[in-house]
Amino acid sequence: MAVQFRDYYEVLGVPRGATEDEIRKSFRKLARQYHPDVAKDKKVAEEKFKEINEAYEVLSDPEKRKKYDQLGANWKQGAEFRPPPGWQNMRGEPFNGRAGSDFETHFGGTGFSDFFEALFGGAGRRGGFTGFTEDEQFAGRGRDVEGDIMVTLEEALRGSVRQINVQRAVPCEQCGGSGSRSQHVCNVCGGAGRVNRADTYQVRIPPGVIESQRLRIAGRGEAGVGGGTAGDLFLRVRLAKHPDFAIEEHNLVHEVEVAPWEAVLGAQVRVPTLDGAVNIKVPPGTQNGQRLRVRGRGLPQRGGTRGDLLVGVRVEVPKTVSDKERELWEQLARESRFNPRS
Amino acid sequence: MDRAQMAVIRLRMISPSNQSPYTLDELARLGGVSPALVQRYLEEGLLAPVAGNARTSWFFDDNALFELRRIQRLRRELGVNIAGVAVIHELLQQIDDLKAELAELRQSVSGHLNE
Repeated sequence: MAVQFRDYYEVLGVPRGATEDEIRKSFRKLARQYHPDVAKDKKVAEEKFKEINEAYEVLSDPEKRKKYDQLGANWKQGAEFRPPPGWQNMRGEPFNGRAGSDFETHFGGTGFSDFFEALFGGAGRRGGFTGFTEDEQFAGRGRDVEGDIMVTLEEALRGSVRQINVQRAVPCEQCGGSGSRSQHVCNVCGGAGRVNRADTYQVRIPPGVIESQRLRIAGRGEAGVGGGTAGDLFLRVRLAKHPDFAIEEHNLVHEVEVAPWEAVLGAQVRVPTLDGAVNIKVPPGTQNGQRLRVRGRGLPQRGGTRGDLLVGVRVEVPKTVSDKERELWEQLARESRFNPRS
Repeated sequence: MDRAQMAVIRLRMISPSNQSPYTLDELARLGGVSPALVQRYLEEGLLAPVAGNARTSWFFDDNALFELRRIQRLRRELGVNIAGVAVIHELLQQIDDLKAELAELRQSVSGHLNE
């Protein structure tokens, strides 16, 4: 079977004569840098993280490293590789003579390349950090995929159907996931056995979603390895900016401008809500910046209730006045006992 | 009219699982860990129930499941201990908040420039 050669020393950035300690240090540094949960570019990090793990799996194990070194130093990363005669016999050999040991760490969903499997069989799952055991059903499980989904406030309230594109690794259809076709490296997946595919789905957004809530779509994450189940797709709700409302937790905030006499005398003003405009009463003596509460017209909350609409009142002053208006303001100034600085 | 021309491309409709809220045991099963470990994470403040105030009435949502799996990944794949996971969570949250703030500032700056 032809597969792509992997230069594990190059992947870990260590010389061929590196000590175990140097290899472990380099692995730990790179693993922290490229872990998909903390890296900036998750997609790139994920592929890199898998390569790093595979390289460490081989180079940290003296037996496997020895076998790997026997291939010689002339191979280039990515070159088409055929195991030399006799190598096939080594497949399926138990590792370290302690198959199924409790001390083995399992990299859930960290797929090993076909190059690895051609050399060492498919059973390698030793991993870099020992002393950690997990549920057997999770070994080989595909990684979860996460993404954000922008939801308008109206959609959050009423629910909707949205189209999404999801990029994820799936088994290569051209080679059936084996990485090779008629003795050559599969030209579709380049020998990886998996390809990144963009799927378009219609996803149902249930009514009442809140900011940062994650919607889980079971089985739409990355394909599993070795018969493992697929991961899940997690979509994190991000509420889109609305022209009329700002968001404060479960409340919506809308700002309304009123004339000075409306603030003093009180008025009815029309304000928008997500359920259509309503008239609200601005009580006499309302101050600039005061907030009026319209109960139950905010965003949905857990448990089916809704937050409030807070209407912020901004008193606007006319920039120009007519002669008649000036007269009236002057009269008011003379007669009013109001002094805001007293 | 030709039937083919009338064909509408139908996209596959997918729905989020509506199994949540989960009990502590269900959450543990979906996360591939023991209930005792979930309890430990709760005590450490790494996970929080969305409702309930006693172990038997705790309920969790899919955010908790996401967090639980992330904790497991960080421990398993990076060898981070529980205190380390807590720090990472805190920092990721801060980065998230800063990103949101940055996006907002950028938007308002470009709004001012367009005016």
